[in-house]
Amino acid sequence: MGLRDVLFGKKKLSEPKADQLFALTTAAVTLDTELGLKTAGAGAIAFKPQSSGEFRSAFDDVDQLVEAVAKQCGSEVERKSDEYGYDWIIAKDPDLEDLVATAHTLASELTDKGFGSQLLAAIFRFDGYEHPVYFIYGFKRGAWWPFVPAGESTRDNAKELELKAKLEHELPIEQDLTRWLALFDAPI
Amino acid sequence: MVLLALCAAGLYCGIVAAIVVLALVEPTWTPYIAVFAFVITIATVARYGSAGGLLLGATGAEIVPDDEEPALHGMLDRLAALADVPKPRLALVDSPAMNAFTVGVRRRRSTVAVTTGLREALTPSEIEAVLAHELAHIANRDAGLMTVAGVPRALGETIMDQNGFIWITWFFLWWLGVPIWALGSLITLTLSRYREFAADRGSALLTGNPAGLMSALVKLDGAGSAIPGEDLRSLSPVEALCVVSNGRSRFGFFADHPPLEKRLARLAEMARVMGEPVGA
Repeated sequence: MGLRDVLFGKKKLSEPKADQLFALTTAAVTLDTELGLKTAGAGAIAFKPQSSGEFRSAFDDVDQLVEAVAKQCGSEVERKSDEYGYDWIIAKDPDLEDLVATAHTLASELTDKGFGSQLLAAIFRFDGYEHPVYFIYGFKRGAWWPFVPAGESTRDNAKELELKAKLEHELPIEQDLTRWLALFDAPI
Repeated sequence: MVLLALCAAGLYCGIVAAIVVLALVEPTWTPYIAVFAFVITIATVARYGSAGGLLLGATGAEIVPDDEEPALHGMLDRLAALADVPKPRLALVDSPAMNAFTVGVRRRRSTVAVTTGLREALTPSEIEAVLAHELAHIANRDAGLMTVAGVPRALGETIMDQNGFIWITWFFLWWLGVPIWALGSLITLTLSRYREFAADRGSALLTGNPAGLMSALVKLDGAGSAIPGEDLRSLSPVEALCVVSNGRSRFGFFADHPPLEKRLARLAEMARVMGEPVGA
């Protein structure tokens, strides 16, 4: 944050950092063999759409993009809106690498179209414990954090911190706990 | 704005220079001046340092735990992530007045408070726009900036406040406090109006929906004068960070918030240009 931002206020949102997205595929082996967590075959990216007509028309292209990406990566892809006004592009594929690749392609295509600052997070679901385990990638931070919902609006912090400790060497984990965004009603 | 920054810098330099010159002209006074400057600084810092916690208490704001009010938490969490700021704490004020405000000088310890009146009366997209406005204040570090910019004003108030001094000292110093306070106030209020515009713009960027904030502002403005008796006027020290002013002077140099028409006009302009290709 430069002096200009301090004096005049930020003029735009920060751009996404998608470069650490693939780190999840490297951590997949540890997740599977040591922690007993397997991909649930679903991943998604969430972004905040704008209300303007131009954005909407540009977003008709996104539907075509989604289809193209689905074909290219061989994943099943669909688009949904949530009650908070965010759009989700959900990918289904039994292979985690394909899921991550799909998310990365979608994120970079959206960034190329100029909507990168609107990207909120990528989220991947894993099963193997009592509750589903999610790994969330914050595009603004370029880092991962675990999210284990234990109820409608409670999360299993103990399990999350345990996952952080076990994966820290393989996955760039967000160190600032106040940034561990919860996505309770993620549609995956 | 640049002029204002220069003006503020000039005032700071002026105060420091006056102290230095006095010390040089009368070297024997140096210890007294040092002690005096120290006391004033401590008094000024104390005035602001305690503001956050006291204010939350004074308004009856209660921190909302993470597992309550899921809709508000959900909105705030997502917006904070999008704005790339640490998640602030959420507080609710049990009051029919409609307003929202932010306290906390440091970004990590910020609290965003909304009144129950606001939560009941606004639609979700309007509430989201108001929360985004408050988050933009946090992202722009407005509480910290306003505190620093507010030092001359607080210094003037401290000097003019006779309680802290022996009567005779106060008699000689009072006239010194007046111009510092006046110029300090002008700077603080002008800066505050500017920061409101910046926070409005930030809200529009975050929600992608300038119309949400426009309709929220119209509702809040309409309600302001109709709320009887007890409202948030006790918030005066953080008033600069409320989404709408608490009903004191609204126009010209003595307003801390810009007039509604100007805010709406700027948001309408944003609504027109948003969605144009990046770099346009």
